[in-house]
Amino acid sequence: MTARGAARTAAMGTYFEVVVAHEDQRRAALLAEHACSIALDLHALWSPFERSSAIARLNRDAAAGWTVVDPQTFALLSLCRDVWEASGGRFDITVGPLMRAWGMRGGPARPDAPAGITWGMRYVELDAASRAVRFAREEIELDLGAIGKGAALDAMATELLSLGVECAFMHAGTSSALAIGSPPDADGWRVRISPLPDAPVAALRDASLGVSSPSGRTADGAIHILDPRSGRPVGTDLACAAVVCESAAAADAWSTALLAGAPIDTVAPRAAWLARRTNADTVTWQSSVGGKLGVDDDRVLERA
Amino acid sequence: MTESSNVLDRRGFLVQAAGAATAVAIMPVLGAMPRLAETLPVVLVGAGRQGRAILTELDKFAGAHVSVAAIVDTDKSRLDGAVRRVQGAQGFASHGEAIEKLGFPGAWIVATPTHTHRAIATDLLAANKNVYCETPLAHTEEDARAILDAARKSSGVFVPALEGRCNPIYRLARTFFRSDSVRDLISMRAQSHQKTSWRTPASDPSREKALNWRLDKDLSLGLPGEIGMHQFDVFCWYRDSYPTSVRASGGVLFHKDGREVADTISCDFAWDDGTRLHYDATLANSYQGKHEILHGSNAAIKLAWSHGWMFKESDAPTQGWEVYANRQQFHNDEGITLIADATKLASQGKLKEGVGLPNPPLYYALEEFIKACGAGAKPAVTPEHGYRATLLGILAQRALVTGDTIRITKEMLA
Repeated sequence: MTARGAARTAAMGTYFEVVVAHEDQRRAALLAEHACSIALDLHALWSPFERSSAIARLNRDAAAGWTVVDPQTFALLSLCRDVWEASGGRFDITVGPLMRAWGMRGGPARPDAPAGITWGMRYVELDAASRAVRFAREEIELDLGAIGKGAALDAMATELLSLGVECAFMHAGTSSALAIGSPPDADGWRVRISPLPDAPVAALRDASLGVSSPSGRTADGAIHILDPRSGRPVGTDLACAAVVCESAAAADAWSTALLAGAPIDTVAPRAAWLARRTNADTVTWQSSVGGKLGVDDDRVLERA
Repeated sequence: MTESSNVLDRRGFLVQAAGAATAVAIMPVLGAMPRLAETLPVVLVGAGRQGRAILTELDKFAGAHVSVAAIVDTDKSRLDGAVRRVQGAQGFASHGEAIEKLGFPGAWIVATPTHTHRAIATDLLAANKNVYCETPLAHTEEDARAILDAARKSSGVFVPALEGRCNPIYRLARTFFRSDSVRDLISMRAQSHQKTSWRTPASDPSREKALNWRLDKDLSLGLPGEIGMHQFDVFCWYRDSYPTSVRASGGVLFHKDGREVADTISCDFAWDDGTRLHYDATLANSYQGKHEILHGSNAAIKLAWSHGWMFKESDAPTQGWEVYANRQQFHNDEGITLIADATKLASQGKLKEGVGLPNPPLYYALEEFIKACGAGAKPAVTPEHGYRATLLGILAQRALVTGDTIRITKEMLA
């Protein structure tokens, strides 16, 4: 008989929850707790608000010269650059100062934004041989908020897999989820991707889900998203973007890129959904699996 | 320029100037470690969780001519993983093999389970290597004494890992404590609260017992020894004196999984001037985490490893710089934030951004060791400090297990 062990922890501004299925309930609980401890470690490593984190250190020091970081942080920054390039700049972890300047993180908007603000992943230089990072502009500031939770789930899953776990599910708030295997009695861990009407259900098996929704409202109260290419908020009818792929970090990043206007079929061979508002109460859903538009949503999605 | 902006500028200047003047007077400056004249080869013995944390911190010394030359671990998969992480590092399955093959005194870091420190540290010290050893140094008085004796005989540097003594915020707060800011010490309190089973899963169940040595009552010093001793040492360092007795109580109150090592404890240390330190630790609740508090007649100082605050009594004298200090509200109390690199930050007008240490406490302990090995600096942490801190942990754990009040004599601490 399979037992389940669960654990929950607060990290990265949300709650991480882990469920592990195992024949030994005590071991299942221990494994879940162990996974949560990794989320805490990575919070300490990646939070820009923790002064001793790797990201805070880069924001402080990397403009002055090459700064060596740990392998996990370097790998994540490399992924950020890859998605930035592949999405045509629509996913960019340097937009924090822009978001603040436009009043999209609380506080008043600056009337002259984006004047005087420097952003752009093109100013973040990575040297794989020395595992070092350098900013080509002093004002550059990294914020992993759009990808860190997914990356933490990836790290947690890697650890659980190394410990022999074959069946587990974990999520970080409403934006990121990851499944190892599937429940004994189902073809996948079924996740409704959004509370929006008619939202599809993804049945995740050895796959991850990343979901993004526009959260920025400007002074006029309208919903906007920030376009990292222009540095300006743009009005949007998108209510939700969701991506399924192997890595939760990649799913997080690509869902953000979709929301910022990346064409849905560019995320092939991943599966993706977009919800567009047609009026105040209704949305229409567009989907893509393996780059093909309009396929059924309710399906089992496995790792490539 | 408008009048208001002029006023703001002047005020900003005053804030910066006052902050800078204060900082120059009392605050150490945190800066990047200077580059060593020659590359210092580091050998890490133990590539478990603490070993990996050490590797992360050692990355930060790359620009200072510090290089991880070798890693030692008895577990092959852990060793392989660590060697993959550090380009160019050699891997060894035993410290003996590494001593034999690596001729340099270098900087050897021992991050293995407590009960294995003696064999490793004494061999390294006998070979006149420079050694940094995690604390507690050992799980028995005899082993701790053997390490101390070996350190005294060795020509190598020996730095016990007492992170509090190397922590810039703790050093800064100690200057306040040693001045008139706190005045008469009335009482001390500390805690370590975390919610964790203290267990680590292993892929191979046969390794689980060895991996979870902290839950083995024959090998573990429990919460007083494995965690508390670091905090006990802070008080002894601040006071320049050691307690004369300890009593303790506790048990397995939450993790009833067959363990015999207490998950919740409390200890009381008494000093011969009548002051006491009350300490409690638990693995069942995380409220307020890990911190130490010293209550004085003028102020209380609260230390929380990456942060520190001073809470002044209303009748305590005011010092000029306090007007500009950064403050935080804690319910009805207002704490003055202790900022370690205030000089630089004040000059940049970024005092508020300096709240919290810029690196984890572990970094500063390693820096102390590296400066001693590579630049000949005299370490602030001595073998005796490590021995005495370890002894306090051992005695507190003994008090917990026996229920006795244990006397701590000067002879024991010598």
